[in-house]
Amino acid sequence: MSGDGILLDIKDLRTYFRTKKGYLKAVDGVSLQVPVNSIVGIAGESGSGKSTLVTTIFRVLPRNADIKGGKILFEGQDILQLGEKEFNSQIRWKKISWIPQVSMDVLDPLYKVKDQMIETILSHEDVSKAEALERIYKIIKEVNLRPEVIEKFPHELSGGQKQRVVIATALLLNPLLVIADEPTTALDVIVQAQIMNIIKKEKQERKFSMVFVSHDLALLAGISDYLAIMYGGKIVEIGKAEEIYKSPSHPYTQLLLQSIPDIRKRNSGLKSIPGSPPDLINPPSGCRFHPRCPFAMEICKVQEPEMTKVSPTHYVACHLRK
Amino acid sequence: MIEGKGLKVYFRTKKTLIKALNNVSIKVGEKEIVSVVGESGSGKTTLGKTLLGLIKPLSGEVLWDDKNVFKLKGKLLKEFRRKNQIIYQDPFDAIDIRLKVYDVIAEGIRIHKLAKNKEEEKKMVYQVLEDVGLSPAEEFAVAYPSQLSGGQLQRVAIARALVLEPEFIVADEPVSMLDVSIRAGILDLFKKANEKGTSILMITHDISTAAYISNKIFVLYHGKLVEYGTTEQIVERPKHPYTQALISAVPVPEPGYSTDIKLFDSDEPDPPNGCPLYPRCPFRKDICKQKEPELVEVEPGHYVACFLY
Repeated sequence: MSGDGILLDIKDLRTYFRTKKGYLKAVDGVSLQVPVNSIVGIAGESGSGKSTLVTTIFRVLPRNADIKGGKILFEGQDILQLGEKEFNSQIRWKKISWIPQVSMDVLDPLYKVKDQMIETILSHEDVSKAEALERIYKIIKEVNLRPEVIEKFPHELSGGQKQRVVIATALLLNPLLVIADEPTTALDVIVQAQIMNIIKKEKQERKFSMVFVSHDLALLAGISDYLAIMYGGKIVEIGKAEEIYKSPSHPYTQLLLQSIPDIRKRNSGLKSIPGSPPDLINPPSGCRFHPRCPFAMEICKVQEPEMTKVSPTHYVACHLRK
Repeated sequence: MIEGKGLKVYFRTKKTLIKALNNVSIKVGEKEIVSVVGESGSGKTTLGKTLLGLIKPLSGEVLWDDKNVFKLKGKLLKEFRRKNQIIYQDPFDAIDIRLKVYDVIAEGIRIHKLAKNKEEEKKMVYQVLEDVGLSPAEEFAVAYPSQLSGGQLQRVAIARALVLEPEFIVADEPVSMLDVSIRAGILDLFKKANEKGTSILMITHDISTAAYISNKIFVLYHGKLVEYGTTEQIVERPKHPYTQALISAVPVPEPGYSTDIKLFDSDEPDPPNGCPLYPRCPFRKDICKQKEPELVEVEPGHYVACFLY
């Protein structure tokens, strides 16, 4: 993952939360590249920092968050240096858009779907209302909604319909990067499959790049070109999706893959990872996974492992792999 | 041992009548793990609560060892309450956060007078904490729920049920709020309880969870039982178009795998007298709109309600 075709290049990003007990190091030195026209999946347990990472990119962090270091280069420009106004007018929705969890209610309950979508277009582009509407009808059809839906208020829609509207809105301005944070969690499995198929179809036609966050490694398998595994605020393994699923190198990745059920192999046993996610206010010394790792050695307790190359596209942070 | 016969439960809202359960029959035998699978609004939670006597059906009956659950009184009702337990999806809601873990578990022992003295009570609480993997028990016993993770708290909820030595547990989406990485550990607690003789009704929207844990699977759709059979029959030879869609929608951990959903994307209302799947079914015929299909046996023990069969 190097060279010219990099759309998003995150360098050593640190996002901490202020708490009564001190800083909670939610994202602690993450570097990640998103190539043009590809989907990077980010997997991890709750508390791994995966959501904080993407909310930092889209600037929807809670108030007690501080960005303590790092760069987010988007088309070569460090967007962390942009003021709020510049970010809103140049980047948000126009170049980078956002599909959050269903429960996040990004749609304004007071406005009809149509009005929210028109507002999104007109605030960024100099087009007539009629042109805007035409574009809205087109995309509503693409996400398999009936045109009448745009005359409705958000509360009149089902969870699946709402999420389709959110996806349509995210794609309205033809962004270069779409960030999705658990976009199908809390949806029924059939609706989830339909939404995933819509996202895949749109990506093929519109050729945007994507960062797709999910705790579900099975779901990510179907959509990701690259996959990053996060644990305790850090990326512990990253590579092409094939490499991660076929030859996972980090013990955490291996255990995570053994914990997901596969309906095709229902008689094979499932494993669960013993212990709990780390305390990120006082994280474990050395490798953050060492207290739960079945292969932990002395060095793991004292020294943090660096990213080591497994293949030109596959890297892992583990002392076992040196 | 627990049997629901022809259960009908309707909920009335301002505008509509919702048929949460529409003539559903189900039986959970001794030492079985039976899963009820369906989407939100399919009636699966209502079914679990009705079997435990927590919701009174409009018609139909629930039998506990051939006794009508809604006619139980006094001692027998108390015994029914002890022997039939429920585990909820969200342990943070189900557990009183003001109590220490010890008292969360001991409460049931006291209500049902299962321990002769404090010493025995303590022994029971510690033992069940160890059984559910909360070890060392002495440390977990003095913790408050707020000090525990979601997975640990769900183990407390399970311990609270198990200490009463139930014959039957309804587990209502017990892992859907938990991280995938710890789900198997929780599901295995139900398997272990089952090996010791407790029957389980596992309510889940995820058919791969059902496939992992159960002997039998019942599929509900809009309050109707559309298919049931052994896990092998349902997972390997699903007959109903809805069951087939449920299975093909399950994400599979293989790069590039894509799911193919044949159901239509429709938000039309169900036909009043026909099959509830009619608006979404790719195989629908005219009759499906006019008449409700009945359950027919397609192979021994495998039933489906669809005019294709």
